[in-house]
Amino acid sequence: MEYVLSQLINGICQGMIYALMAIGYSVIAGVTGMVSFCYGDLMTMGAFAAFYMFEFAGSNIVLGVISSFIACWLLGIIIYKLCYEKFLNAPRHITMICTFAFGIGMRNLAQILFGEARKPVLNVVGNRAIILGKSIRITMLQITIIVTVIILAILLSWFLNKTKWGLSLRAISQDKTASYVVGINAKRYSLIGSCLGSSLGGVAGLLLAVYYQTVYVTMGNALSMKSFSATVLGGLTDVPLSALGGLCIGVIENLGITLTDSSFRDLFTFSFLMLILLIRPQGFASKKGARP
Amino acid sequence: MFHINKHHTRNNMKKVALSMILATTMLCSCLSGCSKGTSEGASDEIKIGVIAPLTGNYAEHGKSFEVAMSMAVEEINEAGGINGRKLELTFNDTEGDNKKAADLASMYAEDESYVAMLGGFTSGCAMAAAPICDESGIVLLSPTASNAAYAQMSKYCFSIPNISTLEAPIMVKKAVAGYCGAKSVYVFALNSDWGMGALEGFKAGAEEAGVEILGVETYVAGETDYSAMITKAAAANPEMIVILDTQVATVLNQIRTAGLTTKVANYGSSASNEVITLCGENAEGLVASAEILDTSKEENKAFAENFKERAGFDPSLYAGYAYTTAYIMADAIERCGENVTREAIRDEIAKTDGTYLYGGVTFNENGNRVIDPENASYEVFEVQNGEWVRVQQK
Amino acid sequence: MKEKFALKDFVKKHSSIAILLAIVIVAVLPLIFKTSQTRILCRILMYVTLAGSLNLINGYSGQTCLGQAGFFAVGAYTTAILITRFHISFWPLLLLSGIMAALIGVLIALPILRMKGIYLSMVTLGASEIIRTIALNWQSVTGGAFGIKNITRPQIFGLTIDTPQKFAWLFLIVACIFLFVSKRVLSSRIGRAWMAIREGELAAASLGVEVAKYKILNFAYGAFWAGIAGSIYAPYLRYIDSSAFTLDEGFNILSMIVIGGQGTLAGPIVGAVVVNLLTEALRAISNWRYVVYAGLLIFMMWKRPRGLVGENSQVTMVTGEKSIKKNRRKGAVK
Repeated sequence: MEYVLSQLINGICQGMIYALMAIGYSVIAGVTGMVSFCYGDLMTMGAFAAFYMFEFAGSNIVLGVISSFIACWLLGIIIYKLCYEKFLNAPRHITMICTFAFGIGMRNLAQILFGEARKPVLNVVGNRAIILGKSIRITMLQITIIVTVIILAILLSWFLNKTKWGLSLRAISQDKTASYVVGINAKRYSLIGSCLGSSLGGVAGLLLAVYYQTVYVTMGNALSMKSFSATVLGGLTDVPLSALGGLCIGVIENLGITLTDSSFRDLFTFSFLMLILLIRPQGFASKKGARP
Repeated sequence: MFHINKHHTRNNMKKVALSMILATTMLCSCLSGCSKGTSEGASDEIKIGVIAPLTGNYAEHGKSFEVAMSMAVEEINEAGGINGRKLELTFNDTEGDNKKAADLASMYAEDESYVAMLGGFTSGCAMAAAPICDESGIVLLSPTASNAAYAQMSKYCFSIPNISTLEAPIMVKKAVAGYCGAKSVYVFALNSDWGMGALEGFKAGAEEAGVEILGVETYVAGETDYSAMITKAAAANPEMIVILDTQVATVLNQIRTAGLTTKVANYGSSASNEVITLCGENAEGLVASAEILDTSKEENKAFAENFKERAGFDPSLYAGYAYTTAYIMADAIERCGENVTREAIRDEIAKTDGTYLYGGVTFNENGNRVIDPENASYEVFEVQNGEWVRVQQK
Repeated sequence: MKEKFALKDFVKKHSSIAILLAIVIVAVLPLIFKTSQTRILCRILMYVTLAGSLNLINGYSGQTCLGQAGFFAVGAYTTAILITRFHISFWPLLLLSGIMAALIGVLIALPILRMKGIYLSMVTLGASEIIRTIALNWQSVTGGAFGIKNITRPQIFGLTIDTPQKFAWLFLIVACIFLFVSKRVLSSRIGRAWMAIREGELAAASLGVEVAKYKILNFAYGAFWAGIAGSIYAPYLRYIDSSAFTLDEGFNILSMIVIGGQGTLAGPIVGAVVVNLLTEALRAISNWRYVVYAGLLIFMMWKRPRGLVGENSQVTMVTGEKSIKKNRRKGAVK
């Protein structure tokens, strides 16, 4: 029993990271109505920004968060200008290819600029674990990650629900034309939304780097599809549901691995996703007429 | 509506035709243009083609290849070259894609000025290139293709890395049962041709040495979160955790951050400073018995330092292997004397018998390196105070 | 410039002659080319079929499938397993691989009938990853991480297809059959039903098109040809493992059809040629290759969002006005 519980905690911790990635992704998907294929590389960039900050100013997680947030905000502007702005009303596959290409470019440029080798991100959080009961193990690292994600989620929900910017962003992701009619500058807020989503992705990248204690150029590859899956589970534009999707995927994966083998990780993710979509063709989102 | 569509398809046919013509002309002009540079007359240099994943998921290792092989060739050329002629390497990028590796191999094979090939990082790339080597009679000496089946595919294929199935039992005997005296282990194995081979060997070796395997967990390359595996291993409460992987840093870090203090042994490429850089204190106490770059020897130390200076990171086992293959190739060409042909090089490589970075190298009839359990580089090493230290067997 | 227009006129007048001419030229190429160039030609011709098969799904029935690499894998593994285990002749396997892939296509199409847009894409993407994971882990059948090696080369009338030259012809023949059959299918009732679904599912249904049936048929047909491409790929390379069928491969195929132009038969041909030649031609700049390639891809999307042979160079409603004006000036608007 305790064993299952500690696996559950592993799943929740991993799910939290997926959730943060999915939150950022769903903000982008919401305001632009488009899919991004360069999200994984964006996370890598966030991780690198934090890595150089750690090198420069010591292992301070707050400074790290700020630097990856800013770096990815700037990248978000470039991505929006190159891949989204012109194609907001165009078929979706065009942005798919643009972001896919941008991802390739970013990854290869990073390889040239930062080097191919793995870099250590050590001692940001100490090697401590709290042991509950007989064998339930929660590491300091897991606690740090869960706390950071929760703080960011609270900040984000305050931002989206209480501020003028946030409300405009939500309006746009619900209905672009209608929000245009009531005087919201759709282009401007799409840009802001895209940047915000990218920044959250960057912070997720930083957390990954801290959690795995290394940064390397291809680290985001495998995870980009996970955040995409989580977002789709959540109905693509709904921020809290996307977070729930991420959490579910994390837990399902870890429970699946508990029963079988780590090699089957992706099998569980995608089978679960397909199963849910089979029952609910639009993910957890229930509202009719959500953006397809 | 249907009428419009019909019109659309007819229009399409013209487009098919037009674009096919344009595409064909483009194809002709481009391909004939591309190839001009490579086929100019034979120079005095001895040219060797290298296929390596310089971009993509394996770029890290591709870079190691590039730096290590270039280093070796520069050293050889500075020392006067081979029988007065200089060696020249040409690097081409496979992206880790089997198709492209095969295409590049064929490009080198048909260009008479290339006398041999080095490289092919993944076994897949090497195995896709193997039929081409066989057909065109050009050597492919791979530093890393660890699939035991690769070298058997052709008499022109050679490979340096350890055959993991044969080597893992030595590791069980010397490090796990010998040095650590462990009776029960939990195994993490990379789900690749190399890792599965190692697992097979490890199981056999463990049975022989009387080590109980409490559980085996395999994972795919690129795995990032090992927490579920680690919790499983912790629940089994083994005396030791054995990692059969060539990239051990992330697993090791996560084992330690989970607060586990279980002894960890690794079989793979860990035995370089890379793991110490990436794990810091977490690497303390890591036991390894793969091939180890014995830095107490002067020339090995020089290699490690030069490599780090040029690449900006510590040499992995693969870098050492790449360096070794360049030297094996150079020695074989030197033995050919005046008659540097592809066939002669093949014969000379098969006769290789010399001491390189990791000790002696000879090839068996398949083209795999002969594994010698008594080889000096199979000693047990442990990380103590941030350094690899050779330890006595108990 | 003048010559180009003359060529265009000629092609417009005698399109069948032009197509025949193009086929003959491509068929002669392997005789002139060096082996390595022929191999690039083989790769391009393989992608013509592979990207073309994806185009039939994405471009003609308007469902964005991201999992073509999965169907490709099914075809390649079917041939590789049966040929190495049971020594079955290649030719029936070619068909069988296509049918296997088509069956998988039907299996995937069934659950996604209710889905739309991204949700549908996600399922196809997931299915492709599941296929790859199975190929990696089912060691007793697929060879797992070791892959399958020494795949026997096909024989026809006692002649072994062993050189890239012969494979180029095989790929060419298959690509021609594919294009010819697809053209017929597209101008038949089935093809028009697909396009009707693309333009509007409800409208199509109201006109009496059985949407579900035709969607499934569409997936099966697209998957079939991807399976055929995979089936030739296996003996061509003689070694396959799961790393050749990743999602990146799927996106690569997708990028070919988008660059070439979705919903046109010619698009994937141009896309396959451009993408493969571009990556080869950029080899000279080594590390910067993919940075430049990425830049060019985005540039092409900016300049011709509908693809190089697409109908219209404008995509959006807003910028579309400009094109109407331009066309009006030309007097092209009817």
